[in-house]
Amino acid sequence: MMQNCPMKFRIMEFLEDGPKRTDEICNALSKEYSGYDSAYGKGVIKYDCIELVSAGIINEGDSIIDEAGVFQKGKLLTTYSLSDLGKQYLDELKQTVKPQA
Amino acid sequence: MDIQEIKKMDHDKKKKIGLLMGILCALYWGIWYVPGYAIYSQPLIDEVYYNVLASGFSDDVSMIAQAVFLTAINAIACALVLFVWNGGLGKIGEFKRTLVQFNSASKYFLMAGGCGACAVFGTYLAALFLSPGFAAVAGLLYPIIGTIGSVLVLKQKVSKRAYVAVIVLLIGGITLYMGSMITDSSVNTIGLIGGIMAAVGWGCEGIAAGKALDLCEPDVGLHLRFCFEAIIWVIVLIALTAAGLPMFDTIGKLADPTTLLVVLLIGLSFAWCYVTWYKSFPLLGVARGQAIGSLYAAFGVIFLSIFFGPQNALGYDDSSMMIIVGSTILGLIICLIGAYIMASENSDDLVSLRGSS
Repeated sequence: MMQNCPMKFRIMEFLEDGPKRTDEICNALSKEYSGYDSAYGKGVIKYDCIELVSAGIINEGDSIIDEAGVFQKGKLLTTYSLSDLGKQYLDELKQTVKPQA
Repeated sequence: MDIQEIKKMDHDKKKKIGLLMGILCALYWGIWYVPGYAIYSQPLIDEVYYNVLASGFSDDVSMIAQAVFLTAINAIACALVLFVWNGGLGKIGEFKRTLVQFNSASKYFLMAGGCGACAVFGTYLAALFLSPGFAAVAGLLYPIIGTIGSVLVLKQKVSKRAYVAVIVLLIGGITLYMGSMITDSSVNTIGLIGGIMAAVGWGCEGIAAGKALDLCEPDVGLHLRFCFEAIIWVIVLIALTAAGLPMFDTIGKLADPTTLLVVLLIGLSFAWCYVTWYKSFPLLGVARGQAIGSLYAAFGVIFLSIFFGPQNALGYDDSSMMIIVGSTILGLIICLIGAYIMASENSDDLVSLRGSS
């Protein structure tokens, strides 16, 4: 439903069915959105996740160090989940969002 | 190094980026005063007043028309600069995606644009009808409204330390201009209304923007906010022209290279000030972001003193020099203490602005 909507809307929907790690979120959504399939684009999505944590919309779970370089070698890979506030926001968005082709 | 230490370092880094954004916002806002002051001597703005006056309108109406025109130029310049900024960042696609979601996203930026329009216009009114010093002090009161709104409307948590820092920064900012206020106690109703518009407008803008930034990109959000503000002012200018005020007569003066450079500098400094202001909100919260941003008063004094000389910037003469320079230095010291209290807050308090659940 949130395809081609603002990135943060889509991140929330992407986490609806359960927690996911930084690399899963960034790799999947960078392929879905045109112009994001690059290190810079994935970094933008990662930063959106950090802002969503700050807003209390998603929660930070466990973290591991990306030693194998699956996303950003040496950096943290964090598992994110939707918070209660995030679920509330997502329900509201489903009522108001204009689906895009 | 264990994972908890690395996470702690990550949280510290996030807080530092938020604080850096707040300080850069204050820096650009302070720089904005220089072209914002210089533009008054350009025919583009200066002649609006004389043209409206020559059309048979009163002195007050002519000055209000001048403030409207200047605010409109400011908003249009920022909207254009931000097209280049977001184009460079590859965010024009996100701009379109956010714009079309009116009920879920862009309506909040329309509200923010309306509140910001009120604030900037109020600042120019206060500066024109009273003094730039009064405008700066009135604007400084906006974090009070922003802090109340962030707690009551946005449900963001604000620690005791952050409350203390907000209060100290406000006292510092007001002390900065206290000398000018004591030595020039002229009262003008339109100027006072302008001051209230500045404080209420910016405070409410922070609340509207804070709500929207929960779900939107800051770069895109503030661009939408300036586009909406520019549209509002173009409508107002057309309405005033229809009412008989010659609002567009000086527009050709934009072709003058010096005027164009000043307008470009206004656009660049104010747009970047907003870029950093909006980026600080998701990381620090509205209350902290606005309080750190209020350091603009200190930077404004410093840059105006550098470019126009301390006497012109602070407006003192031999009899008022001690009180004005003294209050400015004292205000700067208090601002530094406030910024230190804010910067030394534990970064773990800032992981989530609303707590986690």
